Amino acid sequence: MGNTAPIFAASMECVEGRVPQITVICAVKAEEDCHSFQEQLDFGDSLPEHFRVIHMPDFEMVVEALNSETSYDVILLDLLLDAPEGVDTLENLRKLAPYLPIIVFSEVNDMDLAIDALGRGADDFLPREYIDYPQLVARSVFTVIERRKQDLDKRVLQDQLIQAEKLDSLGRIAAGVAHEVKNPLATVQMAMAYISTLVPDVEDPQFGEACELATTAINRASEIISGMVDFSRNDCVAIKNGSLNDVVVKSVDLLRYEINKNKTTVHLNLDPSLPASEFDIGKMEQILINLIRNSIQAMQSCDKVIHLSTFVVSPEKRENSPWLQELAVKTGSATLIALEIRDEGPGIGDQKPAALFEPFFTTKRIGEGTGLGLSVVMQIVSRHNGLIRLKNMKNPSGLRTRIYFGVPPVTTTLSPPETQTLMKT
Amino acid sequence: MKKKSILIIDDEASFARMTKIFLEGKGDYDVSYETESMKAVETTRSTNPDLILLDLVMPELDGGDVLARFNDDPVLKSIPVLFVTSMVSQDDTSDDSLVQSGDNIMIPKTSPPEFVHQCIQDKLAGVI
Repeated sequence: MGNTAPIFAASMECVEGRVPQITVICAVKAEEDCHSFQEQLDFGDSLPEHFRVIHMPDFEMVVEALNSETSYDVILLDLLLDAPEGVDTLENLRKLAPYLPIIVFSEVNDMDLAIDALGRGADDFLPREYIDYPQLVARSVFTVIERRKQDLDKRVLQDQLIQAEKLDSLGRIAAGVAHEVKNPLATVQMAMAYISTLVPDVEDPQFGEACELATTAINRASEIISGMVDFSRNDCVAIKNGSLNDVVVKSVDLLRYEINKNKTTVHLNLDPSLPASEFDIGKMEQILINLIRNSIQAMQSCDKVIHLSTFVVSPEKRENSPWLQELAVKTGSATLIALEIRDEGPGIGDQKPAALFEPFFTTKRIGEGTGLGLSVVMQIVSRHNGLIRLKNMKNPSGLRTRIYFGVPPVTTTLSPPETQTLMKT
Repeated sequence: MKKKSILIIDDEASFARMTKIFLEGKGDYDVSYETESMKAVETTRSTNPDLILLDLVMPELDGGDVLARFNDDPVLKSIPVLFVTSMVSQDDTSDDSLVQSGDNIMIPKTSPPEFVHQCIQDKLAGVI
């Protein structure tokens, strides 16, 4: 076999220093068919990619694999796998894995069947008589993966644009609404302050309570308005050199009253070797305050613990995580640092993480939150080109939020906010 | 003790009226207000207040323009002015300090009314 690399070189991204592995589910009945696929894919030692072909001779195995935590790159599906259903199997598989490339392998070279399969979600159609044709299987695998990847990139980009536009519109509306609402709000605040002075002179025993309730409600409305203003102002960041550890300590101090009131314990585990970094100190405090407040409110009952830590991301961890590698490349950073907040609340259940970062999304009881906290966090992290990961924890249960930054981070003021929300539950 | 006179210049009539009621309830002030910024200079001359609470965003003449006209006048320029505006929020102020733009002090409109009162007392006493 000659050097075939040029055919595929443009199709796959190769991270320097690593051999990319393409994991193939080979859903064919006969083991010898699986071997011939493996041989076809192993032909090119000159290829930078390494193929791992896993034989799954029945449909249930495939379903189990797709429902597991392992990720796969492509499925080679024999239409006879679940005979006589044939293309129905394909349709079922497509429902299970809407975005995974599926190459259909068929005993017969039938044009109608091929069209039918492609119409029902196959990415390519390979008749048996062609599978020994040099490079054909590998070429098909590369092509379908690349096409799917482009589709995914397009979808992600579209989602990001829609999200950016929504946030931008909301920001502009928020600024206008906030200004208009503040005037009547200030009037009512002033009125309540005046009326409250009359409490001792009024005989009705409920008058004082009514005044207190009205004042609390007004203060809350004022808080929401301030939240909207903060949200609309997060389009620019003032970068300074500082210590993330100092920001954590200051934020905890600022929230000391709420922490004590809820009898929450805060454990700090701050890495003394954390390098100084460049960020907007005020905005970073805002991230911490919003997240700590969320944790306090999520934990509800007292005597629970919030763990706050900072650390330098180890090279091993970075090496094992494509997200962190991407972050390092994007920020041009040799070092990545992380901030972690872990609480003992109920976690986020099965919520889609993207929804959590939507403005006005809240799981809190009425009166406890504006639903703007996490969207502000997301916006600030995006402006610092950081990455947020949420994870539901067990023993004890709770939510772990990690925010990663490059050192120094590359900040943006003009690009739309990126939604790099990832969750592993 | 003679009551101090305060003039509120704000196009939001209900806010101006309510602030008047609140401050007069304290017993130490005579408060009047003007809702048309074009008449601000004229009203200030006629009332000769000890302190002015000035809104920032107003139609026709905004707070900055009104202040500029005061500063052009040898008598009016000596009257202390506090901006009370919804253009700044409490989050802009840290540790309860005030937002300062040049020599001008800005109080967020949605500050607790007692905080506004404290600022008025401090300004009249020349502390801020």
